[in-house]
Amino acid sequence: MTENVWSGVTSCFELRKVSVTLNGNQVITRGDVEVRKGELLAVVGPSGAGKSTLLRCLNRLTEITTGEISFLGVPLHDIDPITLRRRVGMLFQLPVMFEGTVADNISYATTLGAPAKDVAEMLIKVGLDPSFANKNASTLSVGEQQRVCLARALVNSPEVLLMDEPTASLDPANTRLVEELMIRLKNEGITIVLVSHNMAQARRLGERVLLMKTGETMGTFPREEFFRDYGEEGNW
Amino acid sequence: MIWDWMVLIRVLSAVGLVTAVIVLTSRLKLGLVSEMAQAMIRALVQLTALALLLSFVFQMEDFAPLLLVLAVMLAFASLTSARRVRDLPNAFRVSLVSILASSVLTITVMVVIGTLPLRGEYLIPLGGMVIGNTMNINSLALDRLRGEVVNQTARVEAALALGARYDQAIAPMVRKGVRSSLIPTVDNMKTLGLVWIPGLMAGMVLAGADPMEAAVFQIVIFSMILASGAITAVLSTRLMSKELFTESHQLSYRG
Repeated sequence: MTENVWSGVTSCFELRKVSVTLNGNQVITRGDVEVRKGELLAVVGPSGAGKSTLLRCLNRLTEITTGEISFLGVPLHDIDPITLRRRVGMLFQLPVMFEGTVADNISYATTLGAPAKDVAEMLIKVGLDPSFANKNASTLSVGEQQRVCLARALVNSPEVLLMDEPTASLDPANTRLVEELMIRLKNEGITIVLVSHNMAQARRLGERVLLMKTGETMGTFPREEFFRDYGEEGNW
Repeated sequence: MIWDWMVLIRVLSAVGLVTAVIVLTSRLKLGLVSEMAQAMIRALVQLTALALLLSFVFQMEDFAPLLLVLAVMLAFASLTSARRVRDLPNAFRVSLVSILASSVLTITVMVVIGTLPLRGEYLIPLGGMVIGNTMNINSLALDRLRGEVVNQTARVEAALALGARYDQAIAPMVRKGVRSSLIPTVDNMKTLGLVWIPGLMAGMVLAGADPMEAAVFQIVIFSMILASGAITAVLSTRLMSKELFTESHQLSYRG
């Protein structure tokens, strides 16, 4: 764990001069950002700015080309990617269900070696009735599936959750439920990095806001300062 | 086979029949004249060349030419299979290793237990049948694996994001690849003798062999094909799985 000498806040992730080139295209040209431990950082910016790629670099689903990322002071390359991904969970824009029941999905991490968790307890944690356990996962609504994805990720007891537009395909009621869950998890001490194109959501949830434009991190701002300068319309 | 006038008359009769069909199709304007003529000529040339080669190889007492013929068959089979999935990384190497290992293992077991006589006239045609069918199964397995990975990239990455190793993340796609590649062979075995009489048995019966002996040989060859096919499907999908990921368990193949 490293103490940030300037702010006195413990860093969760530190990115220095990060660039990512995919298939010859430089998706991230310069990434310099600090994610503080225990915060909910909203990442905003226009489409194609590199927000999702940046998120995928944090659990090494995508490899950085140059620069350095550290997690709790340890360079990412010194951490086994399997171990890293168990500590840094991820939720995608579209929920992905594995074949089988809801219980099979929630127990997936257990089959990989994570300590067993009570399925009913996990379902209650994400606001679903325990009777969902034996349902075929593919028959659930998108909103229910996204909450099962969250329960599935929580079985690993992650220290960080990376969320890539997790409510983009949900209706307002399910969006509200997932947002409430995010706040609860953040209050439990989980660091959350949330990519969102929904500025109102970024304002509701983000303690700080990271702005990305054309592959570059433009800076991290306290919520009030960011929305005072840029508004909710995305006038960047 | 002795080349006498009767043989020549038989071949010419068959060619004459095909020529008549070609003339008929040209009148029907099916657009198949050129292709049928080419196929007929190629079949004549290729099979005559094979017959000459086999006659030559069988006369030799050395095993080296036999092994050379089998090696050429293996190389062509691997090349054909790899071309089917040419955009997959290292498709030729994966196909060669899988087809080679499974064919050699199956043929060796059959020779060791005495089911397959260690003579050219058995090894070459039966080896060719095993290698050819193994090639088909290898192509089907890799093609299905590719399709599954492309269609289910999100599932693979969701599993990786939960801390799965690459082989755990791709396991459902590997299973589907192996299963679907073996379906035609298993279905063929189920309908053996009911729906169709396979080439080897038909050939032996036509050549005057005892039908029971022909049936036993056919069972042997089908068992070899299934065994070799199952081994190659398991091996090639597993070897290819490794090629689709980086050492950090990142999916590098995107189709």
